[in-house]
Amino acid sequence: MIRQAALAALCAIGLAACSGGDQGARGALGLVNELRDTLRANREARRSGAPAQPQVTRAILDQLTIGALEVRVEARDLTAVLIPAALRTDSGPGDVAVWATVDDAQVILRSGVLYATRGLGRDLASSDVTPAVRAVKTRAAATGAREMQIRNDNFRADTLRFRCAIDVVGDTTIVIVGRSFAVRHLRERCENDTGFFENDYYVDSARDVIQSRQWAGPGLGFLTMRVLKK
Amino acid sequence: MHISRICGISFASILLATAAFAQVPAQEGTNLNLSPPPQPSLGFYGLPGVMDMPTGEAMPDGQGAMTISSFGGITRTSLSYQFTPRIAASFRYVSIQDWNDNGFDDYRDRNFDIRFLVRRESLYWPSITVGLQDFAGTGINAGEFVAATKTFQRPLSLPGTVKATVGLGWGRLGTSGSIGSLFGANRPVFDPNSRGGEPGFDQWFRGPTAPFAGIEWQVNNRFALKAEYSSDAYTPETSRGVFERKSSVNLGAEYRYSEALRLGAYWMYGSQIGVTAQLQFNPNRGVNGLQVTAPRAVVVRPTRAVNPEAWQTDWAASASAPVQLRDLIAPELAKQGLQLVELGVTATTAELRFTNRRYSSNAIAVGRAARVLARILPPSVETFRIVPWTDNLALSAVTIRRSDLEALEFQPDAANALLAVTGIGDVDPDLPGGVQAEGLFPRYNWSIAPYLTPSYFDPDQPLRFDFGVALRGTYRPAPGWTLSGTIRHRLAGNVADSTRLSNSVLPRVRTDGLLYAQGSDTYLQRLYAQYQWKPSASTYARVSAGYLERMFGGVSGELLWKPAHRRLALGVEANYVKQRDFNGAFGFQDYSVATGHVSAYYQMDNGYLAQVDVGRYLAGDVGATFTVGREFNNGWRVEGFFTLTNVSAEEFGEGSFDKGIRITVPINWFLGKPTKQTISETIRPIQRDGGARLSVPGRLYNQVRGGHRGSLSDDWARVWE
Repeated sequence: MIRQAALAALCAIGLAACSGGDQGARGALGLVNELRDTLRANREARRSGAPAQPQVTRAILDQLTIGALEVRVEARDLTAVLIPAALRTDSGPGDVAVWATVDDAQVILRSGVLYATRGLGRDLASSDVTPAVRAVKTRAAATGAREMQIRNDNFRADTLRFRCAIDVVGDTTIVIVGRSFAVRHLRERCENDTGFFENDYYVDSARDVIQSRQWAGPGLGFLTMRVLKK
Repeated sequence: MHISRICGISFASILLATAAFAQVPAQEGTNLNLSPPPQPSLGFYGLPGVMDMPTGEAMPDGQGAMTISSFGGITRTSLSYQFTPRIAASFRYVSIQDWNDNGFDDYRDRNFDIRFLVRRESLYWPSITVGLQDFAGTGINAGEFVAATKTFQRPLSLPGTVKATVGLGWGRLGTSGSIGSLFGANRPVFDPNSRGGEPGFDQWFRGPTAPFAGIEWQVNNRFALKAEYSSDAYTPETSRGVFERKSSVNLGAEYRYSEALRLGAYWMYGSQIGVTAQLQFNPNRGVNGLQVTAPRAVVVRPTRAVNPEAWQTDWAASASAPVQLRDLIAPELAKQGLQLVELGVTATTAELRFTNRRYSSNAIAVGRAARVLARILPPSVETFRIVPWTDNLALSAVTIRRSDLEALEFQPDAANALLAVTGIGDVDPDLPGGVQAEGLFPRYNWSIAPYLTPSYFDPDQPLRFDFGVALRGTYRPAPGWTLSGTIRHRLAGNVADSTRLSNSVLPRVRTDGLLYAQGSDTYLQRLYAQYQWKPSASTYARVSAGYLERMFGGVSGELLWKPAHRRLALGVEANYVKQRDFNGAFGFQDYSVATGHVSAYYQMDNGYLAQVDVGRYLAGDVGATFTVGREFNNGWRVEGFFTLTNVSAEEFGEGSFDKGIRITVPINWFLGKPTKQTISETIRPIQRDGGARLSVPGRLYNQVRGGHRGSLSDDWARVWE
């Protein structure tokens, strides 16, 4: 009600204006319109249900020549299929893979363990996930410290520190788009004074994480990921 | 009275559109409690309180609040701010209906409050706050207090939270149920016709004191019940028949509409219905988290061992190499909202000067520029000097080693790791041997946009507006040169309807605002030429001439010393101006003045800023302006200022001296999209002629500071974004 009144007021102001020039000036009109659009998008996002999910079939996957990673941001009910944008080996543990959507949102993994997100807003800026990478690479239990830098609305990053233990839940079988995979289920439990979170990793015999659910910070919540094509 | 950099979209309407939820709802697999600290409910004075009585609590650090409360014909509109974790300040506009005394029908006044949190709540101790209410006004609401509040979770097996408050009040808060005078009995009585404005040192904590108490039961997430025993006898109001006070007990219920908005209804003093609306917001939590399209990963060079040919340096001998590289780099920068200004390359180093047109944070811009350089420059170039440049001012040189960029991108705490090996320092005005971008000048832009100019606190009508259309054009023929003009045409409004002409005994440099408003519907707001440049690596200069503001035209010169790595800046500004005609055309009046200031600026930790300006003001008075402010990295800024000059309080008139607050809000806080634009508003309790400064466009300090080490390193967490 109040929001609609404010919106109406903004629209009224925005009715009569325009701008131009050769340096991409937007002027007041562009700004007011953008503000209005943002408010509208916020409202619609709250109202509308889940967007239609992309239909992925095994036949499509078999024709793919590049890797594909399905990522779901649970709290926003957003699902996208990402393709590899860069692969790196650096001085850190495991291998870095940058996965990207066509509109340049990114998920960055170290041997399948979430290192960072980009372009989603309130992103995970960087992490130290050494124990989890070790557990994945050995398919065995591990313990150690985890650190996550999370972007806040004040242009800084908050560092969260946890004590983590990764345990083997057991060997199991999971199904991804009509195909079964024998995997080892690892669960990472991380704790500090404010509480805990738990990540699940499903690691195949090649020591690749082919499915996981990992926490990306208070602003994004959990990401569910599965490798559609290696 | 106002500065509306974009257009006067009122803060209230924008903030009402606010519903900040920076955190996702609870999810399976985690129980982390990372929610922001709880925000206390606010009282009728717009600071933590029960109803009329204050509590011992403080708001979360950085929190802002807008509150409207009303009962018995008494309406208070408050703007409050938690300036530090312990210090809160409030500015309030008070309106009392049916006063019918002292020459007023309705009584209207402005108050300032300040509070200090002495003790935070702990297991056994309550939170304790000392406060001064209306400490520098005429004293209609003047009162001091000490209040203590203790929180009880689920007391006596009840649901929810109970907060119990006890306190001692002086002044207005010590008028009912007094238990004697603790610190002397002499307290000057409230005089509605006094000038106000000066701190009431002689009255604080003097006179009778009285105890008060209150209780708040937050039943669940939405509803709360409140009760209080008030120590305010409302003597000025009840003696004039504003309302009848039948009881000392007040009761109320509040409803939390959203995280930001809380509404309340009350039964006040046994005879009156009261209502409040409390809006709280925090710059640390945006409406939309800033979402910036992800950059491409840094391209890593092949090692010299693997590919020695790639590392050859013969390319640098070619005369065309810098031009070719410029033509490759410029379009890539443009995709990121950055404009290449100049590029200098050698076999091992590159200096890029660019203008950031998109991001309010220069750290993002520097990071993106570095990625573009790493993708395009030949492998032998190891050192990048990245120079943010704005209108002929090269701000600083950010020196990054390319191998650090390659090695650190995916490391733990990558931003701090890179900052540790990055140098930020002064940069020379010019880049010898650099190739400049083609077609950068001349540039122009124009806009036709609505404007809104509010006029505050006219006793006859507290809020007046003019609304109209502004035509603005800017032409930049060469680096540093600006020709700019704004014409406004008023379409509607009531600022000119006021009948209160100036009664000032000083030269009427500001108080003739009404005559300007009545002068013409179409007027030239500004028309001026400006040139700015860097005389040396750590100094900046500006000269401007023309119709600099609505009321004055003339010439202005400024020199600023601000080394890129220092917190301190010193500046000097000199102006000779003549007062413009009321009709807003090209003519001038007889009054002219030489005005100017020497300024010192200091940037403290955690975003606190201090500024002192000493000099001669528009009315010819001599004195100093003191400003303290707090700036958030995201661009939110809250400042308070006051000016003391050799004009006596009698000559100054109502308010005794000039003071006010200034609030700046970044647009991207609402949009969550990168933009550099901000809205800024200055509010003064009253505008008089003493301590008035010229409003010159293009002052240097704020142009320069965002590109220096303090601001860059504050935002550095965004460098990889």
